Amino acid sequence: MKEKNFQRKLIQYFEMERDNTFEIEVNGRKVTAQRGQTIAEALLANGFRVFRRTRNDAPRGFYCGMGVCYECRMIVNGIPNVRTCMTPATPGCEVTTQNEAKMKVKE
Amino acid sequence: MKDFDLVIIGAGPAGISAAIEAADRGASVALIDENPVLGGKVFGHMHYHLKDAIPDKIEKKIGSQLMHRLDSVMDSMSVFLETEVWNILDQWIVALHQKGTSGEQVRSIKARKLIISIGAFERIVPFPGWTLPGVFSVGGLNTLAKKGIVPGEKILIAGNGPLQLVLAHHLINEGARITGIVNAVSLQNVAKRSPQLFLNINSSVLKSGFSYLFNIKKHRIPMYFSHVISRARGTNQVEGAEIVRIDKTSRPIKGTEKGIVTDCIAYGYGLIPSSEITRLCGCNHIFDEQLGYWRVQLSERMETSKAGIFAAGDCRIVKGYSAAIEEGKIAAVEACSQLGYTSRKTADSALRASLKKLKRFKEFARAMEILSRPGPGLLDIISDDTVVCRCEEVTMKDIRSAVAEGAGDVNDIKRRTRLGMGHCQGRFCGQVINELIWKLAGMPRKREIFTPRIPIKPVPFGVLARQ
Repeated sequence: MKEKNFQRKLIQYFEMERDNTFEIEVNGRKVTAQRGQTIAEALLANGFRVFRRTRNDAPRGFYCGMGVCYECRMIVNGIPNVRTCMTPATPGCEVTTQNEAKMKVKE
Repeated sequence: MKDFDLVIIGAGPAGISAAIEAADRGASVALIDENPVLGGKVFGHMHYHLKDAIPDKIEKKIGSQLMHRLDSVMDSMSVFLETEVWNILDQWIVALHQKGTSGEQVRSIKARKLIISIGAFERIVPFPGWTLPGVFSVGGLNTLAKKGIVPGEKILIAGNGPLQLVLAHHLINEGARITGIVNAVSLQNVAKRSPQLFLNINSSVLKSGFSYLFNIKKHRIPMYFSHVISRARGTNQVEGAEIVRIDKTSRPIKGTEKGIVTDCIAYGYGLIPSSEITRLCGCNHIFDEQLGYWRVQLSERMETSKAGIFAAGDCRIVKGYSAAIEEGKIAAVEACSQLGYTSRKTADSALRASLKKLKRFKEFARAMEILSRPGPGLLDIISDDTVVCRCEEVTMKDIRSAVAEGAGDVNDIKRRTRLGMGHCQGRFCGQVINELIWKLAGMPRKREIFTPRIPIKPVPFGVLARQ
């Protein structure tokens, strides 16, 4: 029984090590993310704090972590207002800080 | 339009438990959640084997039992992930906004019975600097810690409530450095409520509670009682904080301010229920003066004042996941017996144990929530430059001038300042706006809450137009 547990743990360990990380692009910079992380989690794990700037140029970042406050909105693959705390990071996705003072309103 | 016996909104502990019970009895079930995985904020992270994540033992045990049971009935139900409910129409047409890899779309499904289990979110009182990146809600930082992410070097935990201890425990396990735990509650108050707490505590909660406290003690983390955070400093992100001692009504005492070195703050005064969907459906709500929040009125079997709509879990009264699992079960079994999938007699006998268990959870949760709720004097920490409405950046000064101009109620303030009209739709500022108006106008008036407006969660026009 013990042996089996040990085996299972070993397999889990190798599965974890094997190809679980990938790169995403944040403001043009390559950043490592893990499978299972949301975009916000990948950013915070890499030391990013400012996700968004408001109309009055105030910095905002991750706050409630469950899709209620909408403070972590960013531009993901060209789509604005994506809640990064709810969106899984995918290999190669492009994330940009949402600067609302400079965002154009489509006519 | 697809037709379901039971549509369950929110796949956290309550929703999953309800889905299992209903599917077991043969009802057709739709389970909806806006997250990419099932389990909600308590169990959702368990789907991943993240490198640095260290699981909480008791949580893991209960969570894996629940997920295992769900797996066995999963094939018989429809699961909508990354899907938000943005409207509910009469005789229960549920309007969905689906996202995910296959693109965005809106669609509707029909429900004979509805279970709403959308959980809770942070109770807040704004303070100067609380919008800075690096100030997290306690729940938000907890979800990060559970996935092995520690976004700071020196973490300050402030506010109140049981979730603080849970967070401290998770952070310690991840090897984080906590510079202090600031509690608004006084030790006398804890002592006063402890009989009610200990008489109703369940053994697993007691066990985890003690392990949390032991862990905090072992790592010599300073605990400040009767203190609140009064300011977060920084330009682009948190660079420091200030705490202050409070008196019996939570009023800050001048001259007791103390600077704390920190780069990451977790802040919250416990949780309050998400009531937007039950309010949109027109169910009766009352303001619970003791707990300090609006809650939906339910029968013993979790049915709201609108026949056919049930509410379960923390979106009714915040009680934690063990109680939510029981409530989900009660709601689903009752719905199934109304639909004729099970006889009333078998339903009654199936629910006896759950109803009994729930009584103790309720007492315990009530005592906890009363302890977490800050006193009215805490509003004094809101300075003129403090942002009250995060989304529309409405400051205390704006509210003050609106009241001076004659704004007398919540909706009047909303019209004049745009407070509550942003993305979060007043979920945070709506918690304190009544008291702020009363304080500024100098008299208490009728308590009001923002009228829920559709879409409950923002839906792009382009997506709606395509339909």
